[in-house]
Amino acid sequence: MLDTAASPAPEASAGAARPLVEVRGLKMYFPIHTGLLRRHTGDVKAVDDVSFDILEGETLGLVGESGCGKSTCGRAVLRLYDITAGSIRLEGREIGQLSQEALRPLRPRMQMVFQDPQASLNPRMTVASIIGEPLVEHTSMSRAERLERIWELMDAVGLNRDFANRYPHEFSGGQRQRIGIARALALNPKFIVCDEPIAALDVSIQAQVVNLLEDLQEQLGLTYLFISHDLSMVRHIADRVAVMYLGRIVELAPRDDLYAEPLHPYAKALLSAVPEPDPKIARAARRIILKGDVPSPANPPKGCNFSTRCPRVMEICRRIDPALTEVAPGRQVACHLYTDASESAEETAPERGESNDTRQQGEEE
Amino acid sequence: MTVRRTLFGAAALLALAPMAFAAGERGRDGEVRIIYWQAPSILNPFLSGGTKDVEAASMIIEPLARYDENGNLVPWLVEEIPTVANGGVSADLRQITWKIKPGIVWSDGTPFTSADVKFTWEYCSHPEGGCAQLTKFEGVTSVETPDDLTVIVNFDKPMPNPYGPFVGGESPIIQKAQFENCVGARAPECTDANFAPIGTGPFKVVEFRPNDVIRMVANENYREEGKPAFATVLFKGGGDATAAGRAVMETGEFDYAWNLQLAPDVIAEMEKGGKGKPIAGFGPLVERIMLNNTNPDPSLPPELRSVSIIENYEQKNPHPFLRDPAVYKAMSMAIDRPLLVEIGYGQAGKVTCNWVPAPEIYNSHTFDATCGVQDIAGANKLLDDAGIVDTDGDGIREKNGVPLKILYQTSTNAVRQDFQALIKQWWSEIGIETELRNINASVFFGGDPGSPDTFQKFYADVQMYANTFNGTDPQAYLANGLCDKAPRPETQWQGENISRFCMKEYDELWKKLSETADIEERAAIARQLNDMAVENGMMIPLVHRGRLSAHSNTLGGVKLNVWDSELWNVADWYRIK
Amino acid sequence: MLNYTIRRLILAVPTLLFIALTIFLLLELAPGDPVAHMPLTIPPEVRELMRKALGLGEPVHIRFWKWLVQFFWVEPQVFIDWLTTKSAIAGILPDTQFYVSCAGGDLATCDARILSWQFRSPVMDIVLQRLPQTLWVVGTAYLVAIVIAIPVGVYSAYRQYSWFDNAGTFITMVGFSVPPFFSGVLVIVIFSVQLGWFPSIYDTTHRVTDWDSFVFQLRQMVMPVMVLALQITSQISRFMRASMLDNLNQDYVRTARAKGMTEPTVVLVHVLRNSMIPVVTVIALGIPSIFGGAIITEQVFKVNGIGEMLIKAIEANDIPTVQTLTFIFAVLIVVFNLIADLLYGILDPRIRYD
Repeated sequence: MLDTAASPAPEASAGAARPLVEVRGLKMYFPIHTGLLRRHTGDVKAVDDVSFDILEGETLGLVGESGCGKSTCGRAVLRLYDITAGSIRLEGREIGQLSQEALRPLRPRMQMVFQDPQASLNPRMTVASIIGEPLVEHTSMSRAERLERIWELMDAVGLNRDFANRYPHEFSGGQRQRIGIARALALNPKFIVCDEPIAALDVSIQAQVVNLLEDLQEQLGLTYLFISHDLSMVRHIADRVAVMYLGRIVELAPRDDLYAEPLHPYAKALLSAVPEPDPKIARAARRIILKGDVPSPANPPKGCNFSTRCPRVMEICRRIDPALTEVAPGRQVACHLYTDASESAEETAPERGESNDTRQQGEEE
Repeated sequence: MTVRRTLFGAAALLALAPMAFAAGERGRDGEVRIIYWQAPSILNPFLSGGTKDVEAASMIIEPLARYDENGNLVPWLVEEIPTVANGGVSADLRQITWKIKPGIVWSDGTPFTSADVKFTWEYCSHPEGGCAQLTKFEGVTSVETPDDLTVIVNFDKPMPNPYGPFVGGESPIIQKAQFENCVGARAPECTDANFAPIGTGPFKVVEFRPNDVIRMVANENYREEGKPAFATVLFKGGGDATAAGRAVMETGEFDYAWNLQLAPDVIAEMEKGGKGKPIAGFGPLVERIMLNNTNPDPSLPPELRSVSIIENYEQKNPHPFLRDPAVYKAMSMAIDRPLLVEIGYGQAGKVTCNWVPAPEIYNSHTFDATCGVQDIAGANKLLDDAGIVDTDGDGIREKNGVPLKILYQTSTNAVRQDFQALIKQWWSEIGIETELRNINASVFFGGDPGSPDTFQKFYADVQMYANTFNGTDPQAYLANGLCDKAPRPETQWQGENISRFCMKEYDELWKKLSETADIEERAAIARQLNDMAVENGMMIPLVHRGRLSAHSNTLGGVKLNVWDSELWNVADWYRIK
Repeated sequence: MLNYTIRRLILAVPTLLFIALTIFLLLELAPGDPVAHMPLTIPPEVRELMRKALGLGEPVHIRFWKWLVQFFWVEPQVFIDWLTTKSAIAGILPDTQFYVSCAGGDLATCDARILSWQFRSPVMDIVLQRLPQTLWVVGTAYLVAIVIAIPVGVYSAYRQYSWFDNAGTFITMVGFSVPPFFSGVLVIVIFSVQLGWFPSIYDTTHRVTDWDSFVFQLRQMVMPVMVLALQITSQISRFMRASMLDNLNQDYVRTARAKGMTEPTVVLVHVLRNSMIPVVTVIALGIPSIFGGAIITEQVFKVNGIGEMLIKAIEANDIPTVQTLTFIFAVLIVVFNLIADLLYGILDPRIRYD
């Protein structure tokens, strides 16, 4: 897969075989308390049984619509939450069940860049102290060494050193995100979760930040989990892409394969929404519009999570939840269409579609 | 006389409490702690007039003579009480001569002289001074000081009761040297003097915090050997009557609590605390319903509404029905006075149907037989017989077509509102409809001529409040029934004849009182005046109210005095060991 | 910031003048009579003379002007004289004698101070006399309340819906809703009457000179401070909790955790410092109420501070005292509003006034 990827990172190619992060059966449920006594009456299944690997040096894109659990997934992988179940291995070390205290020494290895650069920076700290704080906590650098490192980082992300004593609100959005990146880089992490790092930025700034992330990856050999709903940006930066729907990964494939031919009906619908720069192709392309709303993660449908909106839904979909299985080398998809009786499913689907009420139908235009 | 009295007093105390004189040294009993829930604001009674201020000051400054707990006049800074008999009062009743005891000194050591007495008169009678005790000096034309120990007071007319000036807690002597520069408009500028007057009393001020606390120490120059027994006084003010009662009777933090106007059950509960006990004394204070003799109809113009128009002792603007004896007598009969006493005042109240229930010689017994008995049936019969019946079947009687509907007002006060509710019920049983109203006390008693809600304006049919007089002589108080004392627009609504009561016989009899000197004769006339006022619809007396104070079980020598300051004999107080 | 402060102070002048006029007119229009509380035995003629002696004979605008002169011209003179002759810094200042007392002087040229109708003495002297006990009791209650409220608020928010938080919510609800005239009397009945631990009546003349007298001072302060602190704690801890909850879910908290900061650092440095911004403002805005005293609590425990002075002056229709006290409160409120705004600017780097 990586061979086909356009990653310019030489290190990434070299260490292709070794997964830096291995996630297995990750579940992140948020309890729901109701009533006078705040009894535990249910869970929001934000991330429900997700498994994937991230190879060292690669960028895994994680896409999906709002509320599908991608950000939660990213935070859970970094153990910013106490996860409900599952295993997370970072550089071969199990961190899924470690206590927060035991995790602290490992924090320098994994970092996060947040969506909202304004909210993610403590408004009462200067840039220098925001970047320098983890150095105080995790290293034994002297004050001068620390300042040197802060300047170095500021240089690396393209911030003027003179701004070190300013407060976050004095910067523009793009600059703030650079501060956030510099902060994340301070302790030489191996793995960075970029949680929609460009969503809150102007379009003109987005490319700058993405390019910065790519440059840093090249220079520092970073591994990214790049969470975004911007499919074209993911296409630009990611090596492989995972598509999430309602707390689950429905398809995981090398970027080019996925963009060329998505397999999962949801992935198809999603990718059909990507704007096409070539007007000829764009005219020819058919957008798939999904009907209905995403079901509540507190009460997901039985069987396949997508069964309530799937244009090609089958009877089996409502009973059995399809597992994520490899259908082609490097391509994993969780859909009954591609697993057992894929042929018959394709045949029966339209019939069912006609016989069913429109709420469950997809429509092609 | 003085010597005899002192000896007798000492003997009596000796018999009652043999421990008291075990050590006769001044200041032997340490500190006495007094709490007044109304805190003194100033220690110059001439600038305040408030009871709290007068009484606090009475520990420091003293009058020439004062009343004891039985209402008898006793010499204080003088040799004896001047009378016509002993030649102290001139035969024409226009002059009184006081002989000051020799050897009295102020607490600063300077001698107390007749010049100080004369100065006190000058101080209070200055027109710009705003002296609260001006009435004490009414009729005084001059004060002569032939020598240091003689004071002669001249009056502009014969004074059957010449014991106004320099007598009682309201009229103490202040030191000339201290107040010389504080006369008239300058009076309030002398804060130091007003807050710490130099006196002849048993204590002197160390620290005065207005509306908070006074610290005093024994006056080392006090004239009586071995007194006061207490070396220091903590005189705390503020809070409420409940807290003061609690501090004496339940926690024992204080020795004496003044004027506990509390519900009887609250007092009883506090007494269970076991640290102190309540004591009651009865002055002439009477809670009464005043009957409006004029027409308070709101539709009348302001120059007529509740305005007394007297022509030849006849009311030309009479009340439509309250002048009828059947009506006000029936109203009085319908009232259950013992119940009012029980719920309102307990041991601090007595049933009365008199306007002047004390001192005892002035107390009429004319109404004693019926006063304590509620008689609804009798009241109904009285009204029926008078032809005041319900003619239109609405349950309310009419007199000449005017329904007996009454607006009954009083000041805002829990006990008064209880009384209002009960009386409204009783009156409804005799076919009188009552509308109740209560007014904030500071407005009701405020005397603002612009306000329609003052008790002087009396824009109601009946109103309830309490009134009393100072000293033991009711002459000035009985003058409140004179025709020309009615409040009216020409007087800016000032005047003490709140009922607008007017009767030729009454005015004549009062004149006779003012010319009579013999005490027995005076008493007889006063009783007659009292009966006349009550019989003829000036008021319905309800409760003879006493003063209830409390002292700790360890405080001896307390004699509750309602005729003068409660602290009149603080020099004799001691600690029971 | 300096420009802003000066601008605000200049703007405060018309505001305060307007407040002074409003208070004066309200008091003027309110019914009441300063001699109303005197015994009925004092006849109306005498009352009229007394009213005249209080200065009530003059028209409204003259009296307002006189008050303004007294408050803004005469009283500052007295204060300066005091500062230069009797205060702790008197030594370094030249002695001044601006104020000309009327006692014994010429009434036409002397300076009339604001005199209380109850005490016939300068209101400001009594205010200064009352201030120590108010500051001691109410100020201590405020400090105690802050010291308790902040940790409680922080922990309640950190462990939202835990038993501690629920208990805290319940207690603060009780503290908020139970009036001090009830809780005050309740603690008196329990601790003074039943147990006899603390005095029920505050001794304002008590001086702390040694350990024993200090212990006595503590004993007499315990109950009023307890009652007051319960109320203030309730208020501030709620604020603290709400503010903490606002901040705990912010991304920068997640950032701090992602940085590998220890939990105490995350909560006490990152979250608390940001959460304190509104709380500090609330605390600053509450400071005038310390000077204002606690009317009911002071009454219940006989602390006889400023609050008690105000309520008694209102009852006695002592207009100069009420006017002066309420105006002082108005000044304090205006000043502390400005201080709160400036603090906001200092604490929150996002806010700049220039």
